[in-house]
Amino acid sequence: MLEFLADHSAIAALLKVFFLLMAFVMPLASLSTWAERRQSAMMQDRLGPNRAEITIPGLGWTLRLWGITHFVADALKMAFKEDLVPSKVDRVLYGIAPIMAIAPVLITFAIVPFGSDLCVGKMTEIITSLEGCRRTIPLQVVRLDIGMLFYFALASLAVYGTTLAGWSSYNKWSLLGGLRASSQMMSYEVTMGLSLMGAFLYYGTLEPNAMVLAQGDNPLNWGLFYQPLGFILFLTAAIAETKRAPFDLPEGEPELIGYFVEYSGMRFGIFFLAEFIETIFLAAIVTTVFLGGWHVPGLHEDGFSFLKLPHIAVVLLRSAVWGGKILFLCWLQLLIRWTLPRFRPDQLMRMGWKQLLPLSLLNIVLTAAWVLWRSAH
Amino acid sequence: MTGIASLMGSAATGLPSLLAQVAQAQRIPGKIDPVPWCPAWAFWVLAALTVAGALVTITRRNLIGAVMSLVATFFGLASIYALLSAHFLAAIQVLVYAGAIMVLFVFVVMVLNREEEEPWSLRSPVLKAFGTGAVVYLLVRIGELLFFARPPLPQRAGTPPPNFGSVSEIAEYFFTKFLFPFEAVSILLLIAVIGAVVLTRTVAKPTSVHDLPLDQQPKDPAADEGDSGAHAAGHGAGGH
Repeated sequence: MLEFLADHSAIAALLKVFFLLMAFVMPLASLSTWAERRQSAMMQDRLGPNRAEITIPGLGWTLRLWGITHFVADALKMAFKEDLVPSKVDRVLYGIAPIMAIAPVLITFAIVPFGSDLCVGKMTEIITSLEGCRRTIPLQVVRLDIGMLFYFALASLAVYGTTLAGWSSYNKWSLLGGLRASSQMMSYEVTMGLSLMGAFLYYGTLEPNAMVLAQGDNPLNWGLFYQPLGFILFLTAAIAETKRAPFDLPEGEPELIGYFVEYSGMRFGIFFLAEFIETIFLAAIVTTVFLGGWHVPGLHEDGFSFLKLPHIAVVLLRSAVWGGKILFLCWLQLLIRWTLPRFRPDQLMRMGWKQLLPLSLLNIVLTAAWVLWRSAH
Repeated sequence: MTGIASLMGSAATGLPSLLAQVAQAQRIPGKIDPVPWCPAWAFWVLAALTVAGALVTITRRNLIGAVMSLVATFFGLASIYALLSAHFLAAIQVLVYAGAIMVLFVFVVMVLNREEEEPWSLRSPVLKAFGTGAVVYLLVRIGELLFFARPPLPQRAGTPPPNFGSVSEIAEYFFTKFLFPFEAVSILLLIAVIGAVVLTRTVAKPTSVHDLPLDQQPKDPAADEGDSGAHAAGHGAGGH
């Protein structure tokens, strides 16, 4: 089975796409829609959505689990709602806008390494390095030389989803939301790209898995400690790219409702889901660049120094810890979202262009000087 | 409609082929397949997409539709770059042209939000004659290229070297052989940025008393009530 996959990389890539999106990203995104409301309720001393439950027919036994099945109820509600299309919309652009919002972020998951390479044929053995492996299966859909540039290129296309939704809806509030979204995303894209340049200089590569390998299993060597400024700048700019509070001006409910005000049912659901998938992707990128990716503190290729583990256990443990890091960062984003109030548009622009951008340039200069000094010594 | 069709075509054909191409170029030492994988049909599909997108761009009245079909054209071009193993160029093409410049176009079109009207160039007979002449010249040159002068094309370009189109290779060219043009372009861009800032900069004139520095702002009359009459009178004479 694994030998077959190692020889047919296209089939392996399809399986990896299926696993990553269907078994990890989509369930996590659906769950975050519930977690966000539940967490906000806890932070505001309310109960939140806790009523959805499953009754198992034969036993008469009710499974409530803190209302975790709310996301199923929400999905069913959206699927069965009337698909209302206002009469004056530009039908084609109105139709493709949700697709253009969700497609780029799903495609960019291709470059995320979600585990270390599998060594085919030595799954149950204790190995000290991958050197002796004849065939390996990378736990990453594509391993690109251009790496993070692929992410930037596709992320820059995500603007079209919101902008076209705002324009095609034939509604003044939608249009204003779309305008705000495009100006905000254009402004913060610059900082988002430049804030990672320091990390690129430090690692000397653009390829995400190579960055993870460069960080190693010692947490003190992780990117966070070498690029603290880059970490804060990237997190800020990338949260602005996801258009979530405190950067949710395109959908500021008291003023505009949002660029998707004319969307209903599953079309709105796609915009909603795309936002949560973006938070997961942001968590994945931050994990890869700054938090050691799939590395577990102290876990070498042959297990811990006090406990040797077979190869398959090491790989599974690494993937599990990778998932845990992503859950932590998703939780952190929900926390930020319910802690900070929304910016004003002028504050947003001033922060993007006059504060974050010069700081990210400073980060590049400092890192370059440091890399030069390090290579000279 | 056609603009959108070509756009969806680009999403349907361009992206998977880009993905397949880059997947093929996974740089795993000792694992890479030395046979270049470049099906001819992929090129023809992408070339047709690029040309169709360009044609729709110049024929469509709806500005947003035209802009979106231009995005499709850029996407087709980027995919062709990827087919030619120029992955870095493909990513930059999407990032800069499709992702940044065209977003700015959409933004400007949305802000202006003009009604669809007859393009001005079709009104003047002089411009009509000029345009007709240009099209005739273009057709003559294309016909010349297709039917008369046909230099023998190399049948097989050969496999590109393993590092071809990679970021490190391009960086090496930029910082050794082409350092001067590279730096010259960066200075040119800097001049353009400074020029844009100078052109859009307006001398800050306070439009409201609240924009003045605090010590120059007139005092709130309600706050003066408790003060002595002489002070309030003096302030009223001087400040308002």
